[in-house]
Amino acid sequence: MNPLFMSILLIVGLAIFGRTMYQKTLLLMALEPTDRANHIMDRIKNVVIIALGQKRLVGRKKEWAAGIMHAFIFWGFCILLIRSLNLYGEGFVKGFQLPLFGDGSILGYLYIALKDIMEGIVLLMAGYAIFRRAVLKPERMHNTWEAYFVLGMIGVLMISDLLLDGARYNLIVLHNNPEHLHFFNNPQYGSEFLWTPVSVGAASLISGFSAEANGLILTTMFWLHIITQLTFLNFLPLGKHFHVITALPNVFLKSLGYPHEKTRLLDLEDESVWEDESLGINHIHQLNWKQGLDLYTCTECGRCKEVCPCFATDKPLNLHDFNDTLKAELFENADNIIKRAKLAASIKEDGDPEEIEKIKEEMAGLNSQKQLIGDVIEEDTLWACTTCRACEKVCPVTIEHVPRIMAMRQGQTLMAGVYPQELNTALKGLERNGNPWGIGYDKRAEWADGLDVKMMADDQDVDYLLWVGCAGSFDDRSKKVSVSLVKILQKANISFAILGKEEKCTGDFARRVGNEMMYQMMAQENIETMNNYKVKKIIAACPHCLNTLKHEYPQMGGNYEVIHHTDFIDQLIKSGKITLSRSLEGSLTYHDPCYLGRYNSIYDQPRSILEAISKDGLKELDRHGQESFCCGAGGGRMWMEETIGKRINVERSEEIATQKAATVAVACPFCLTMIEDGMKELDKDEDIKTQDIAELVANNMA
Amino acid sequence: MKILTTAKKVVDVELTIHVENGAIVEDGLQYVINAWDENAVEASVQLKENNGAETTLVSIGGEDNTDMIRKCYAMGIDNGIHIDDPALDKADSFVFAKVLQKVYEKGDYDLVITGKQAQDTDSGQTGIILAEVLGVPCVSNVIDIEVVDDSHIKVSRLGDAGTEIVEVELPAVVTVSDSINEPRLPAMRGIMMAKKKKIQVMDLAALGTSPDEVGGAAPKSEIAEFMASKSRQAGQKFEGDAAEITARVVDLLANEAKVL
Repeated sequence: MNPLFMSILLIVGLAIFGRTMYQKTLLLMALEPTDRANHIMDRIKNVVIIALGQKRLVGRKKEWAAGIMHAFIFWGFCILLIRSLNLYGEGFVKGFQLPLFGDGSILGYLYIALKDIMEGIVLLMAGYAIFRRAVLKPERMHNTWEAYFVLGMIGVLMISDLLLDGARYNLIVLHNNPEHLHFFNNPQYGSEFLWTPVSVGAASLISGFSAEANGLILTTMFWLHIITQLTFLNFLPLGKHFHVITALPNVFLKSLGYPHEKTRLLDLEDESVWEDESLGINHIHQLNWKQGLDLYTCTECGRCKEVCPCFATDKPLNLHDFNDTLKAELFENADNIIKRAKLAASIKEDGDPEEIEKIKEEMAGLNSQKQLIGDVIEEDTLWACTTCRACEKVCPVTIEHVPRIMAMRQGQTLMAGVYPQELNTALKGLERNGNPWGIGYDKRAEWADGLDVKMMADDQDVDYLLWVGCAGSFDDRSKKVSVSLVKILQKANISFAILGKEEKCTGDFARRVGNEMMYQMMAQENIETMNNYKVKKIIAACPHCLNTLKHEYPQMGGNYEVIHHTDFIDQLIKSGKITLSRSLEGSLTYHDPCYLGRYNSIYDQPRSILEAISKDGLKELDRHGQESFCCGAGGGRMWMEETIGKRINVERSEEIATQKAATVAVACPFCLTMIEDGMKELDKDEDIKTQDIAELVANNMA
Repeated sequence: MKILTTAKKVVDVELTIHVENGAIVEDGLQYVINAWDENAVEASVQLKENNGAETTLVSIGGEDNTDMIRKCYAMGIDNGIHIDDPALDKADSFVFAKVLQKVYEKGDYDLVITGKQAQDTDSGQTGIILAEVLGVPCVSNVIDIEVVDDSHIKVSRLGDAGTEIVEVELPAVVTVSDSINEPRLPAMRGIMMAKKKKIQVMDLAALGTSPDEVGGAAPKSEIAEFMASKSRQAGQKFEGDAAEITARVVDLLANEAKVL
C-alpha cells in the first residue's frame, strides 16, 4: 500500500509498545523470586485447556452465554493474528501472501473462510457484550469507559476488515478490477469470494458506490484497521485488557500439584529475617513476580467477588477492589521497586558490613510511604478471608488470591504483631495444650473412653493412624462424629490406632492467620511423634487436618498417605467391607467443605455414599461442588468474631433451608458447627438436621 | 518511673492433677506463667507504653523459668532478673516476699506490680507481705492503674459491692486482678529478638543475702499433703411418666442418697 507510511506506523506503534512492556517486565523482575520453570508439559496442558480452551468461561454453566461470547472473541482474535500479519505485509508489498496461506494451497482458502466467519461472529459477540454491559448489567461487572472503548475498537477492527474485503470484492466483481487487485482464483479450489460470505455481505452494503468510492473505502479501511490495531496493542497494557497479553503466560505459570502456591516454609531461625523484617508481605515490593503478574492479568470481571462468601455477606473484602488497589500501589511504586531491587542485588555476602548497612538503609528509604495493611488495604479486609478458594476456582485467568492474603497475614502477625486479638485465646491454647480450645491436652482421648480404641503408644503395629483432630477430640458435637467413625472402622475390621494425648493441632489455623511460628511448632511435634511410630497411612476426620497433613507436612519431613474419612468410607463400601441400607428418610442435601472439595478435589465420594443411604436421593444445593459456598470458619475465621455484615453461616443455612432438606450432610467439623449454629439461628435446627457423613453411615449400616 | 513486676510459673490448671501418696504426680504436667502475673506484666507494659517507664521482671524458680522471662521480654518487658537457688525449693509466700524485698532494694523501684494470687496455691499473700516488709502502701485486687504524677498513682480496686478508687503515694505495691486487662500474646518478632537479650540470673548470694536471712532455710509454713478433689459424678436422667418418675426420685432421695 504505502511502505513508508506502514514503516512509520509500525516503528512508532511497536516502539511505544516495546517500551511499555519493557518497563512492566522490569518491574516484575524486581519483585521477589518464585520458581515456575518446571513441568513444562503440564503447563502447556493448562494453557491448552484453561486458556486456549477457555474452560472456565465456556465450562461455567451459570454464565454460559458470557462464556461463549468471550471464547469466540478470544478464538476470533487468535485466528485473526494471521490475517493481521498478512495485512502488514500488504502494507509493504502489493498482493503479499503469507507462505502456506496463499492462494496456492487449500489452507489459504480454508483460512480466509474461517477468518471471514470469525469476523462476523466476533462482531456479533462484541455487539452482545455491549448489550450485556449497557442493558443486562450483570451485578459483578464494573462498567467503565475502558470496556466500551475496547469493545468499540474490536467492532472497528472487524468492520474495517470486512469492509476492506467487501470493497475489494466490489472493485473486482463490479468494476473490472481497476487496480489489478490480488484475489484468490484457483480452478481447483474455486474463487476466494465463494469462501467469504460475510465479506460479500459487507460488499453488498457498499455496492451502490462508484469504483472511486470503493477504492477510497478500501484504502481507508486498510489504514483504519492497521491504526486501530496498533492503538489497541498499545492500549492493552494500560488497563485491565492487559490480560489479552498476560493471560496465557499467567495460566502457563500457574501453580501445579496444589491448587495454589503453597505457603513457603519460612526459616524462622534466621536472625536476619527478623532484623530486616522480611517475612511475609508487609510492603508492596515483597510480592513475588508471579503475584505481580496476577495483578497485571486481573481482568476485573468480578467473578471472584461474586462467589466470595465475604462479599456476599457485606464484609469489606471485595477481591476486585483488592486486586485493583494492589495493582495501583505496585505501579505507583514501580520506579522505587526497581531501584530497590538493583540495590539489593549490589549487596555482596562478604561485603563490608558498614557498606551493607548503608545500602540497606537506602533500600528502606525506597519503601512505599503507605502502610500496605492499614493505608492501602484495610485490616478488616485482610482478615475477612476464609481462604475458601471459591475466587480462585472461578477465575478464568487462574489468579491466586489466597496465598497472597496469607502472606500478608504473615507479615502482620510475625512482623508487625497486628492481628485480631481475639485469636490470642486460641493461639495460647495451641501453644500450651495443642488445641485452640485450650482444654488440657491430657483430656484429648477422653471421647474414646470405653470404645476399645488402640493408642499408638500401646500398639503401633496397625495399618492406619486415625487422625481425630481437635474438634473431634474436644468439641462435644464433633466427638459424636469421632465415635461414629470408630464404629464404622471397627465394623469394617480396620486395624487402626489414635495418637491420643500425643496428637496436637496440625497447625492449620495458625498458619492461615499468619502465625508460622506456631504452625511450625505444631507440625514439628506431630511429625516427630508420627515418624517415631513409623506412621505411613492416615485417615483424617477433618478436611483441614487432611490438607495440612497431606500437602504441608512434607515440607517439614512428614510424608504420609493421607485420606479423608469420606473417601475411606467410600472405599469400604465399594470393597464390601461395610454394607449400607438405603434407610435414610426425607430429603437430603450435601454441603461441600472447601478444604475437601476445592483444595482436595473430593466431590464424588461423599455424594456416592449419600446416594447409597438416602431413600429419596441427594438433592444438590444451588451452590455446590466447585462453587460450594463456604460455612465461614476456614482460614482461622472459626476463632475470630464475625461482627461485620451478615453471618456467612446464616447465609449458607438459609440456602439449605430453602432447599427444604430434612438432613444436610457435612464432612468437616467446622462446617458442622457453623451450619448447625446457622440452623439454630434460623430456628430450623429441629426440622433440618446437620450431620457428618460418618454419623449418617454409622446410623445406616446394614 | 521504674516498675518491678513479678511472675511465677504454675502448673497448667487445664490439666487434671493426679495425687498419689499425698504428692502431686509430676508426670505429664506442664508449667505455665501464672495467669494473674501475666496480667501484671501486661499492666506494666501498658504503663510503659502510655506513660514511659522502665520495666523489670523478677521470677523465682528453676531453670525452666527462662522461657517465661523471654516471653515477657517479647511482651515488652525491658529487664529480666531470675533468682535461681535450690535453697528456695520449699519457699512459702513469706520467703518469696523477703527475696523480692532484696531485689527491690537493689533496684530503687517506684512501683511493684504482682498478680493478686497464683493459680496453683491461691494464697494471694506474696505481694501483700512484700509491701509490709518494705513498709510501703499496698492495694490489692486492682483493675486499673492511672499515673497521677511522678510520685502518685490512682488505682481502682474491685470490691464486693463496687469499685474503690484509691490514690497512693509511690513507692507502692499493687496486686492486680485478671479484669485489669487482656494480656497480649508475645510478639513473634519480639520472641526471636528476645533470644539474644540477657537475663540476669542470680542465686541468693549474688543477691547479697542468704537462705537464713530470707527464711528459706526454715519456711514459716510447709505443705504437709496434697489431696485430689473429688470429681463430680454423672447425674441420672429420668424419662417417662411424671408420677412414676416422682415416686422413683423420692425413693432414691430417701433410701439411696438418704437426704429426705
